Amino acid sequence: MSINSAMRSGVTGLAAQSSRMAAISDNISNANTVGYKRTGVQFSTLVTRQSGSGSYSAGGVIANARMEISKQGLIQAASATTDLAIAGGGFFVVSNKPGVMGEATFGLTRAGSFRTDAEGFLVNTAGQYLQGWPIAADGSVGSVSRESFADLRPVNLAGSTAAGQPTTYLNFTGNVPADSTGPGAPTVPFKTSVEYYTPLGKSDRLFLEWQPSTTPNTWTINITDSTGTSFGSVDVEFNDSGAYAGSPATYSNIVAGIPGFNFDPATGRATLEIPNGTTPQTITIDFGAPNSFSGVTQFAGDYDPRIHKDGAAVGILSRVEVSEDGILYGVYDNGSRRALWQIPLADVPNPDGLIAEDGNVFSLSGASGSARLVDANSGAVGAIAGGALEGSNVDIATELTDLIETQRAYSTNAKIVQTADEMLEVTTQLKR
Amino acid sequence: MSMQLALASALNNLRANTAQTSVISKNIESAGVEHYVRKDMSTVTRFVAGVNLGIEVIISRNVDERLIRDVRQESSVVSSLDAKARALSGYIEVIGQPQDERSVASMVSNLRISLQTLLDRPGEQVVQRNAVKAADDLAATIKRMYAESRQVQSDADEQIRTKVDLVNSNLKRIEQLNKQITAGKAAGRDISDLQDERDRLTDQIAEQIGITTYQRGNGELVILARGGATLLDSNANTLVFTPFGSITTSDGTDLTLSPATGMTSGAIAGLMEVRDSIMTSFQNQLDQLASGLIRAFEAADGTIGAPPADTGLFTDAGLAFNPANIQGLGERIRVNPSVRPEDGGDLWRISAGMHATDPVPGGDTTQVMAFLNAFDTVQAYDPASGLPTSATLQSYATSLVTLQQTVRTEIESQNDARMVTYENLRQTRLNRDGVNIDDELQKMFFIQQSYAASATMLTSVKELMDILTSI
Repeated sequence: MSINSAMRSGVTGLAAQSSRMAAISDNISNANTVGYKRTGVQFSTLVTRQSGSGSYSAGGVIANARMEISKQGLIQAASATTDLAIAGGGFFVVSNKPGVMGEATFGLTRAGSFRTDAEGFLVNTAGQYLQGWPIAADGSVGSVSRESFADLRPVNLAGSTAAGQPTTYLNFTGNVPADSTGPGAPTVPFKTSVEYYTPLGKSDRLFLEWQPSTTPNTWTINITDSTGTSFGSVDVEFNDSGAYAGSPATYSNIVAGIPGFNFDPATGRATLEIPNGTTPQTITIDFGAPNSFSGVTQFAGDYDPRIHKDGAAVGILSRVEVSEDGILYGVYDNGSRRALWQIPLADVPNPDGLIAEDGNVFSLSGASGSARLVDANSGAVGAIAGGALEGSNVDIATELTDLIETQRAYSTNAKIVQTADEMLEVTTQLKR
Repeated sequence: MSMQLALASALNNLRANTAQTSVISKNIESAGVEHYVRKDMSTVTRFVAGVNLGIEVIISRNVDERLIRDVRQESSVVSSLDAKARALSGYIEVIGQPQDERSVASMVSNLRISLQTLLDRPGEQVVQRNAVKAADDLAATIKRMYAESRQVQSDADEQIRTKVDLVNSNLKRIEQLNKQITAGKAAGRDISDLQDERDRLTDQIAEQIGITTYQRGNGELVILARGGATLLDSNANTLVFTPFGSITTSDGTDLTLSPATGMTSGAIAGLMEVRDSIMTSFQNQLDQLASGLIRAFEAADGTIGAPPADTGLFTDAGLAFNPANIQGLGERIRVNPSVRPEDGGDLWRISAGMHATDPVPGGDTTQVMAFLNAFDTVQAYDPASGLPTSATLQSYATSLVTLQQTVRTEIESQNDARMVTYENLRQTRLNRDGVNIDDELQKMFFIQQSYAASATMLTSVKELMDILTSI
């Protein structure tokens, strides 16, 4: 009988609307959960085979809940630099324990509110450990598998707290006074010391002596160590006219004080080998190529040396920064920066097919397809934004509207059941 | 989602406004504090991957390094001149003007006048006593000038020591500040107050010793002496001072070897010049004056026989003039004991000659006449002293006082001239970097408006949500 089927249909409608109601309530309660993806409920018809054209049998409705995983949430500014958001597609790979594949369960997430824990691991609010590839001293991650999670390691900052960098390069810029050369030149050289860092992070000094010559515009540069032992010396003549006036013209008369001293007159670079270890420390001092203003100049004026150098004393990790392409840099209190970890993003063919787990984690399923690890900001995956978080993609206004809609639909469905019931009652009262 | 965005950005703006308010209140609080540099705020939109994340307040401390360099350079020069002028003023008080009663020039002419009186009454004891006293006074004045110059030297030396200590403690402090600034910059903290403090300490160093500075990319400041010696490069290279000697850096660079490559300005350089050059040349001049007096009266004394020369009216600490031993003569000059009753001598020798055995018979003025003639004899002096190479006693003494006075007045007029330039530069720096309360209040007014607008934004969104929930 059609009335019965109408009643059944009304009941499926009630069931479907209550599913939607449940989804809306989850959405609203997680409206402020970082990385939450809203669940949308869509309906589809249930149709029963009709016995004939004279009667209609109602089928009802069925609810389909679907997570809108691929829909981007709002990116909001956050205070910590380890708060990471993904602008675009892709997921962070996380594990429930600080271990490698096999020891821990891996999952994907977009909830990037990471903090360092007591052991130096980066853990998000749901207790998930961020996974990445360590960057070796040469700046590369080596060959890693991008098709599986096998080479991923939990990101740990504990081993990177102190770092020193030996000095390898000094650039001497600034001015030497032209009017000090020529007859009556001072017999005492202009002497400047500069600190450099040894491979152990210790600081030592080099002396650069500029002896003006009685020949105009000619100087002798003598490089000595802190005890006065000369590494070597070189004469430099400066251009006194023309387009290059003031820049070095020629380097000549190269004298090596101790072995390992080299001077390239074409580039104006001295190479020293400082015997402070089994392997001597090599430092290049750049005075500027002839006829260029990249290094030292000689104009009438003050002796005004400026020495720029690389290297740093041992520093303590003061904070970390994550670049858009997913490189985690350590910034040390001596001002140096070092790339420590690469954080890849996982790309799946069908993100909406992922299975949601506790703690904003998604796991792979047959529907999602297998994950591929891609460098952030390349290919299909988005950029990583440090100091930002991805909010939920729930819109309260939409949810409230849906709520009203659901409420109305629910009471309408109930009315169907009630009306069908009343109709059946009329039928039963046909006989007294 | 748009309403949440509206809430988030209104909140962000409120936060930014609060940050700006704190900066402005700090500026107003420190208005008029020297070395406080006004903090400026700029607001920038923060974009992450093309998404606008609202505004961010960046606090900047905006100084003109060129201007600061000029101020420091000028302050070094002014402090150097000022230190010299101060050090000299005490000495100049003692020597007086040439026409002053107490000046050495007046003393020379006093001696001449008393000898002239003696010419009339060579045998009279009172007149003899006066002449010997005039000679005594002259010797004492030279000695006093010499002693004063020594005093100036040791005062200068003491001051150099204090100033070297100040430079060293500032260098150490800046070494610490450099580390804090580098670390703070790396950590993204506000380092502007540390930079203020570092600039203040660097200014103090610049007053003591001429410096040039530059900054490295990580925010650390490198300080060099003007001759190029490194004073601070990561680690402080402190100054090592040897009393009455040189100043070297702790890595062994001597700052006092050559004026071109060592220190050129600053109070320390000025005091070094007073100690090692000005006072030494003054002493040299006094030595020459003393040697002139001794030589003149030895030559005029008829009782001294053929060489070896014997002592005259003035002696080198009781001995005859020795050309090999001129240095320090100004300190050793004494009137011959044989003419001083205090030393067991006899007054009458002023009329008879230092080695006379008996007083001259009454009315014999040969020796007194010879002494008087000594004043008109032109003698040769060492050209190194900077005074005339040949002069009479009187003119030598006068030019000595005049020249030493001139040294002081020249330094003072230079100081006055440079002071004007320095004050101008300093004022420019204050105007540029200091706080203008009007500007700050005007900024505050804008912030107030912006804060109110954001707050209104919050209320409006709340009302919208209320409407939605009450449907």
